[in-house]
Amino acid sequence: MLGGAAAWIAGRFHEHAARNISLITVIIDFIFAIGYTIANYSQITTAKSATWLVDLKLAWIPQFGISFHLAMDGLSLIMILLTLFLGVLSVLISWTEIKDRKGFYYFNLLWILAGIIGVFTAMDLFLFYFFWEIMLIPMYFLIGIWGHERKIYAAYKFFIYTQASGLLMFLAILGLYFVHGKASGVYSFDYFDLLGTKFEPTMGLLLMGGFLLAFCVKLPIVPLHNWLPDAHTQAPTAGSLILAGLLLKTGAYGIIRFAIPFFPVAAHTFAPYGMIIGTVGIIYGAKLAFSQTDLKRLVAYTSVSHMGFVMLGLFAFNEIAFQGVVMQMVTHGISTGALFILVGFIYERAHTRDINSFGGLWSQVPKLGSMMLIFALASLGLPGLGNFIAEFLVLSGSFKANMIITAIASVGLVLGTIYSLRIFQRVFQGPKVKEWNMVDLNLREIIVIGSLVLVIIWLGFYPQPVIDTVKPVIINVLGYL
Amino acid sequence: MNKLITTQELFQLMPYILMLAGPVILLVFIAIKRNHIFSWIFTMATFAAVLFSVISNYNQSSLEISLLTIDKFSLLYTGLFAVVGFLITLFAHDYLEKTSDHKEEFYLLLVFATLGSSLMVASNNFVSLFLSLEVLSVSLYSLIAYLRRQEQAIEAGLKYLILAAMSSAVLLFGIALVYFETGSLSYLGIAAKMDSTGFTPYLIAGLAMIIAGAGFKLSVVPFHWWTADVYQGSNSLVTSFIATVSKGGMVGAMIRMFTIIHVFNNESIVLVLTIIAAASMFIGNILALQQNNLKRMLAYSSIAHLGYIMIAFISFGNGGTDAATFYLMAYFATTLGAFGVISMLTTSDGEAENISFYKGLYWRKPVLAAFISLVMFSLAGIPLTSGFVGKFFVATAGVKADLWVLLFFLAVNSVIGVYYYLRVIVMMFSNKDNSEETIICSKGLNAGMLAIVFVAVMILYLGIYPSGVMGMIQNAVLH
Repeated sequence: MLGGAAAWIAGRFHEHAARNISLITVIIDFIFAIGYTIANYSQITTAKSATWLVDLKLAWIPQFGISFHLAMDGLSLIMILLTLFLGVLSVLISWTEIKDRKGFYYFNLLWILAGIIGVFTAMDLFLFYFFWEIMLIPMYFLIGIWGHERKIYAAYKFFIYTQASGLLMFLAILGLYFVHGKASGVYSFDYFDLLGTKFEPTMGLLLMGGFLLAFCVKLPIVPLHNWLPDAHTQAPTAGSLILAGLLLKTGAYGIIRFAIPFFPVAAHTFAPYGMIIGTVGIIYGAKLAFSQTDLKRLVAYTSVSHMGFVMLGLFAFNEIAFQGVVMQMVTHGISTGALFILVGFIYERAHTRDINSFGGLWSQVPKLGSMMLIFALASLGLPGLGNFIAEFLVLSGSFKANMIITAIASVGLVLGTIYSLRIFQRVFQGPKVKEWNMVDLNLREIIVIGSLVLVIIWLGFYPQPVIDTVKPVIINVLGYL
Repeated sequence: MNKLITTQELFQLMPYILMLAGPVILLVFIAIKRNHIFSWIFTMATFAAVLFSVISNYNQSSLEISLLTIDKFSLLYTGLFAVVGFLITLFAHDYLEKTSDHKEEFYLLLVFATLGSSLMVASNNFVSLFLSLEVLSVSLYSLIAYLRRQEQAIEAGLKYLILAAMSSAVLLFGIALVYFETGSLSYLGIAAKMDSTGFTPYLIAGLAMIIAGAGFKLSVVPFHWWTADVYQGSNSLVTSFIATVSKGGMVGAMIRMFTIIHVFNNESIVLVLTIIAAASMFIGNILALQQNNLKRMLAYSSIAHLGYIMIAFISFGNGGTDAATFYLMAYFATTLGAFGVISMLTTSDGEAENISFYKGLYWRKPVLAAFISLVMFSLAGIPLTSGFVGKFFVATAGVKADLWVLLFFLAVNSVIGVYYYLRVIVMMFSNKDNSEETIICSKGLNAGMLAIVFVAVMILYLGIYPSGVMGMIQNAVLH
């Protein structure tokens, strides 16, 4: 049990081979994680406050109070399950898409997954930053080498945005480290040591700003979202899947795990602005999504819109909203990931993503079409699918906090309906613009998409396991406020 | 001071004596019969012997004689320089076979220059500082112009000669002013005098001139003008020597000087140093952005890196000296790696210095390309590499000393830096479209390969598990 988290990461670090090996590795990890969850399910959900399911601490650079400290609670567990699930899929969808330099490709893919898992489990801020950066470089390669037409530009933009904000976070981490060290005499980067550090109000705001900036770039929040459409559009399908499904979630995770518990006072000051920014994101993302002609870009902007809900929920500071945020993280990972995969399938067949060149594809590829319909509906928040639960929880939570903002944010749902249906309608219905010669989904693709469908329906009808798993964590986080 | 040197002291001075004796013996051999392989092996043996004597002396109590202080700090730097010298020698054999018609003297000068640098760190007196600085500089003049058939090398050598002589003059004048004011040339004597008089105008002027002279060697803005031309013009091994040992010697000497003479109590000097650091970071990085020549790019980036080291330097007494030393080590490893690869890829036609030369290198020489990527990541300060940990230590020292503005600049500059370092990597991984030129590698590549593997291991070791080395540095560095 103790070695669990470490074993996943250690197992990854030297992983370097073709797709079979990577598939097997990820599947083994995934099965291991599921097995672990089932075996300990009762313990996870019944715990009163945040219990740490796995806790591993080794000295690393003792001179500076840095340790190799990994720990996992319900929230980490959910995110790790999501990571590994999408990890398996990302290997599967790269099966035929990636034709050259396979070894290096899968090497990068697994490194990203390792970095993400590291981010979700690191309990030492230095280590956290370490993983935070580790996941960038392979992602940069993934976009830069296997991406589409403007890949170099997109890769640079992605890297520089995240690197710049990451460095500011790093400065904030150092600031936190010293404020704490001066006050208590204990210089440590450990999460648990740093919790409860007292700040001058301005210092707290500045330091939280450093953290928030990094997390908001990742999330992304509207003025800082500029890298996202390019990165998503230019990345290979698996890259988009990981970006949308996992990398964005590290931002939200960071806010829940670090920004709010460390700086409760500053977070309260910032809360109304956070909610407003979130709402702006919802509306703005939806509006831009509607006006895109590139399918991938369109889906990318829907991410911006959905992440606005996350931001809104995070700064509502109540249990329901937080539950919604976690649900949104999971379901958005699934549904948007699925949309990217489907767009990837279309692109593999048609070699274009231009929405205007499609139309009436339903008759040719009904399976692909019906899958697209499911996820378009999920994306607009149809009851019965996971996203509905998430958005509903976020909105009802934030309603308690601020009625007006919530009312405006709800408009986002309507806009969501418009853009989601537009994808489906323009691509699969209407007159045929051009005669495409397409084959329908094959077995591998059906397995990939089918598993996503099952999960999203399951989350729509019975979200209780997720809610129970993260409940102790959320109560714990709210305790700091 | 009239006593004779005891055996014990002789033993402690052994690293320096070896560095002096090695080239002299080699000189005799060259006079009798030239043999490249022999000189090569002999030089490596010299460096190895130096390293060995450093290690065996390391735990001795420190030795203080009138011109030199042999303590852990000087030995640490000397050992470091010996390792760098050894690695440069490893690269040198193939490189000289390819490019030069007279090979043996290169090694003499290399060892002499290393000696100069090592002595600079050990100096506790302006006399010995200046003498060892000249040992270093004079060796460098000839090393830079070593490939005498190339116009660029001659130009670079001449440029360096004129500017270095100029800076030595400034340094000397500064020393004279300090002497005029305090009546002493030893650091301790000056410090003692300063305790009673404080900072008099002459003293400040003198110190400022010393800083200017040192700044030239460190190539920080505004004393940086020679850097790019000299880096580009001299052969890559000498360039790597200038970038590492020569700058390292000056950093070490400054650390020793300023630990004894507390210049950081004076606000105007701190302000000047702060401006130098900020300007070095920005100007270095911005100029590096525009280069298409890898050597020039590295030259400007080295200016920026020295700016980062200056941050650690300014946060003296807050772990800044540890951080500077660690950063120096990290920077040594990466710089050596970068120039080593350039020297390996160089053919007799010319240096492998144009960035477009590296286009698609990954698909031709994956190992070398992976290595260059590692070096670039380290220069950019990406985790898992020594550069990241170095930057972390520098930032830690800076935060302790409340240098928030400089740290913000550091962050901004790191991002600028990432851009041009990545450019090299992107080049290497991009498709080989029209580059038919094949890279010819000589048979003896293995020696260089060995050095590269060593450097790569060092970069990763310092990047992943720095606490061992850091412990050693904290133990050795003066506080």
